Amino acid sequence: MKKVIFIPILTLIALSLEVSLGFFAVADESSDLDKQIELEKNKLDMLSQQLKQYSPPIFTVSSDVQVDFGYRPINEWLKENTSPMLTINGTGINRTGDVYYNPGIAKAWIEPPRDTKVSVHLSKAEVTGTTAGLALMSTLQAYAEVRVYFSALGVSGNVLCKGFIDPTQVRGVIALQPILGTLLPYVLKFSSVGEITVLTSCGIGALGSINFTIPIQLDTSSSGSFDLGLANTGKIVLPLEAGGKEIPYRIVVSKPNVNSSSDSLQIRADLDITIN
Amino acid sequence: MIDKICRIDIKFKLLIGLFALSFLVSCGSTIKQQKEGQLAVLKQVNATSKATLEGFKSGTLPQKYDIHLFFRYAAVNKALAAIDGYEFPLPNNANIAVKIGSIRLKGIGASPLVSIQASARTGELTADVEIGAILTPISNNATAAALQINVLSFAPRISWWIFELTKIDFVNALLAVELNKIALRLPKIELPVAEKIKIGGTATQKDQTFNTTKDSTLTLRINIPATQRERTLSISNYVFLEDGLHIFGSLK
Repeated sequence: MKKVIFIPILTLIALSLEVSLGFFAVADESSDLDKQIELEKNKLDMLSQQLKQYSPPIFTVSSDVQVDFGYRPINEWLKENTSPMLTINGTGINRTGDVYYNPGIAKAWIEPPRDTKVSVHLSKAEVTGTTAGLALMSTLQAYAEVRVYFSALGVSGNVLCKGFIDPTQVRGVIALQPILGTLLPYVLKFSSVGEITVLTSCGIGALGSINFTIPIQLDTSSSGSFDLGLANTGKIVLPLEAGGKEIPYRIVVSKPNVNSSSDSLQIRADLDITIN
Repeated sequence: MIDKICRIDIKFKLLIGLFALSFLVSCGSTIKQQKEGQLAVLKQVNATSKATLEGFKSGTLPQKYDIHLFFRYAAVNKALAAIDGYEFPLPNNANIAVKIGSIRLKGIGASPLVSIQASARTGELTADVEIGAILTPISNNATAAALQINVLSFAPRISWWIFELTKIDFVNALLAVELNKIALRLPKIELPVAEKIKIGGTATQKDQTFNTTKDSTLTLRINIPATQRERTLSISNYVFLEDGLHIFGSLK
């Protein structure tokens, strides 16, 4: 009888001992983990402070979304387009008035307008970033051909007038326009545009020559846009094991702010996200 | 008769003892697993932060880039809110459903911590689950800015009374789950980054009138050739900081 009672008591003592040992082992391990966690947290605090201290200016953020667009791809694009040259052609479609008029003596007018051909060549274009914008340097060359009818002292006829501009270095700016969605539109403007004119001259034999000018206005001619690198949509994809759903979301860039520096074009904006 | 009662008693006490032991082991394991999870996350965060800091100090970060894009975590979190509350079965026990209450990104040091509110449920039993995770790019040198969640720990946060022995199987199933299998059930995030980037304008034609002399004009039909070129964005590296994530890429 004593033996019978003794066995379960021993078993319980053994079990209690095992349970207690297990418990203390877990508690000891837990305390060790706490110490390690504390140590890692302290390391993290120190690293976080140093990261703030040493992070280069590009990592300073002020908006939901920021884009910095370097000038290398812009210059490469300009080089591709202007090597050997970008040619803008013009053909006359209409004219008014006389290019030369001397009452009772002579007059001359462009006729037919379609015989007027103008071509402007831009080469070696390169952009430099400044805080004021994107400064552009290029070499411009132009050629014009105009057919002119004249009537002078009872003599009339037509003559092909020619004019040209020798390669000239021109300055301009790539004027950045307000952001449109995820695009940054630009307009190419030459600062010396008022002075770029093709002096066209045509000789009319013994009667002398007729001179007139064709201004080259490229201000509004060359425009386009830079893609900001932002897509209009992104998506959250749930794996097949979790239903396999794709949830697209649409972004809208708001309150954009565009600046330029010597390094890059800088766009700062807020981002509105809507789930489709 | 007494002998028989005592034998039953021995079996009964043995059973209680074993249950008590299982309980303590399971209970201790959940706490241990939570703490191990916290430690794993902290170690990973510190390793990434250290590497980033060294990059800053040595000037290798950022590397040369054509384009830099930054997204604040708060903006990405707005998109992540769309999947709040989705569920999937526990990989090693289909009877247990894991519910992801919310997934939010939060920068700590130089690491994108993924804060996941999750719970597990089977029948009447439920338990909050602590998931330690960080965000990682699916691959560098990619054209798409796709990110995945890397799970570092998965531990039930459970409080129970000694006689709630029915929870043991439930807890053990949660403790035994493989982390990579949980990660495979978490969402991938594709950021709104364009793979193709266009620069320039399309071919255009326009009529422009010029003064040839004071009293005459000439209208020209001007043809401007297309200047548009397309480049492919190749993402070279990501830098995760407290405010959000920075993507650096080159255009080819």
